[in-house]
Amino acid sequence: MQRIILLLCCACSLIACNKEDDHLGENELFCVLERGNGVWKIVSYKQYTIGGSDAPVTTPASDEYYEFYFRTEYLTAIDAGFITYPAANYYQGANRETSKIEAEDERVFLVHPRYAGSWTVLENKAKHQVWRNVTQNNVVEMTLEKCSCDAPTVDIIEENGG
Amino acid sequence: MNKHIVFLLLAVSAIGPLYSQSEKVKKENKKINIWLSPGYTYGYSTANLGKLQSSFDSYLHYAEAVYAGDALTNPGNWQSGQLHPGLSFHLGASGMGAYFSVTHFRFGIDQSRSVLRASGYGRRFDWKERRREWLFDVGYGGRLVDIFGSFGINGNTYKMVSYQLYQGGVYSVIAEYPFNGVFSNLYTGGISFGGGIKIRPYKYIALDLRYIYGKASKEAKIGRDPGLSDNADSRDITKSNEFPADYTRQPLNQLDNYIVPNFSRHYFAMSVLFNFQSK
Repeated sequence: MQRIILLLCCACSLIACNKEDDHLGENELFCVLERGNGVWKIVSYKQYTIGGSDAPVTTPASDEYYEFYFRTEYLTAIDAGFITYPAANYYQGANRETSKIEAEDERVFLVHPRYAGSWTVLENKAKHQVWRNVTQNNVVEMTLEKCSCDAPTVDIIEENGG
Repeated sequence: MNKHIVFLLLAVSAIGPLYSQSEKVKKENKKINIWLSPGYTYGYSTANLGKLQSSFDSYLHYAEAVYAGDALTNPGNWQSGQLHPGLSFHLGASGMGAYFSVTHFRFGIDQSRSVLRASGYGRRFDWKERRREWLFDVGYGGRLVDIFGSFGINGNTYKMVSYQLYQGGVYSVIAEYPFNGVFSNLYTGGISFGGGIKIRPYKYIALDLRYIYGKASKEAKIGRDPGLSDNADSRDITKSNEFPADYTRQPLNQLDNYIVPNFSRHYFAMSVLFNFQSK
C-alpha cells in the first residue's frame, strides 16, 4: 500500500512538470490572471529611454490594482442577448476603469489611463508579472503581484436613476 | 544394486533443479505487467521547416535592402532536428506473448532566431510547437522486453512571435511595428504511426523507446487553409494579420502570402514510466 501511495505521489509530481506552458491558445495568460479572486496589485513602474544615458527610474505605484474576471453584458443595442468576455478593471483610489482584455503569454492588451496600447510580457509567473510598453523610444515596465485582497470598493454613480 | 541407487540419486539430483527451474521460468513467464502511469519523455525529432526558412530568408533580403548600410548578422537556418523534453501518459498491459497499450505524448518544441543590425535594432522570431500524439500500441509482450507497433492521431498548435529589437536588448511585440505580432493557428491534425520496445531494467520502472511519425494533413487543393494569423484587437486593421511567407512582397496583405502550418515530424523518444508486475 505504501508503495502504491509513493508511486501515486511520483506520478502527480510528473504530471505537474511543464504544465504552465502547455497550450498555445488565445488568452492563455488570462487564465493565470483571473485565477482565485483575480486581483493584482501594481507594484512599480520602471521607466527609461532606449539609447538614453540616464539610468532607469523605478517609481512605486500609488495604490493601483487590476481585477481580472469574465464579464457578462446584455447587448441592448441589438437585443442580441448576453455575451461573456475577459475583462479587466483598473483601480486607482476611488476611480475605476473597465475594458476588454486580451492576454496571451507574449502580449497583453488592456486599459491603462496613462499608457495606451498593448504590453509585451517579460515575466510570466503565477504570482508575479512584468509587462513592457514601448512608445517611440520610451519604455515603461510595469510590475504586478498577485494580491490576496478583495478588489477596492468604488463609488458607483447610477445613470438614469429615474 | 548400490550402483543403481547411486546412479538414480545422481540423476535425480541433476534433473531436479532443472525441473524446478523450468517451473520457475514457467511461472515467471506467466507474470503480467500492467502500467497506468505518467511518464517523463526525452526525444529527438526532425521536421521539414522549409516554409519557415523561406519566409526567414525573405526577411533577410528585405532587411538588407531596406536597411542598407546597417549590416545585419545572419543567425543561421531554422533547425530541422532538435532535442526536447516531453510528457507522456501510458495505460496498458503485457504478458504471455501479448501487448496492448494506449499512450499519449505531449511535446513542446521551441526555437528562436534573432536578426540583429549593427545599429542595435533588429527582429526576433520565436517559433513554438505544441504537439500531441494519441497512440494505440499492439505487439509481443515478454517478461522483460515488449516489442510493439503503434498507430493513432496527432493534434498540434503552432505559434510564431515576431518581436522588434531595440538597442540594449529591449524587445517588444506591440503593434508599433506592423511586422510585430503573435501569429498562431487553430488545432491541426493528422495520423501517426511508429513502433518501439519497452524494457524493464528495474522493479517498478519501465523504459519505453519508440519511433513516431506524426504526419500532418495535406493542404487543401481547392480553397484556402487557415494560416498563421494574429487576430488581436490591438492590431492595426489596415495591416495584414498573417505571418508573411515572403517579406519582399509589399504590401504584405496579398492573398497568397501566408504560411499554412502543417509540419510532419519524426520522433525518437525515450520515456521513463512506472510498471507493476503480478506476483
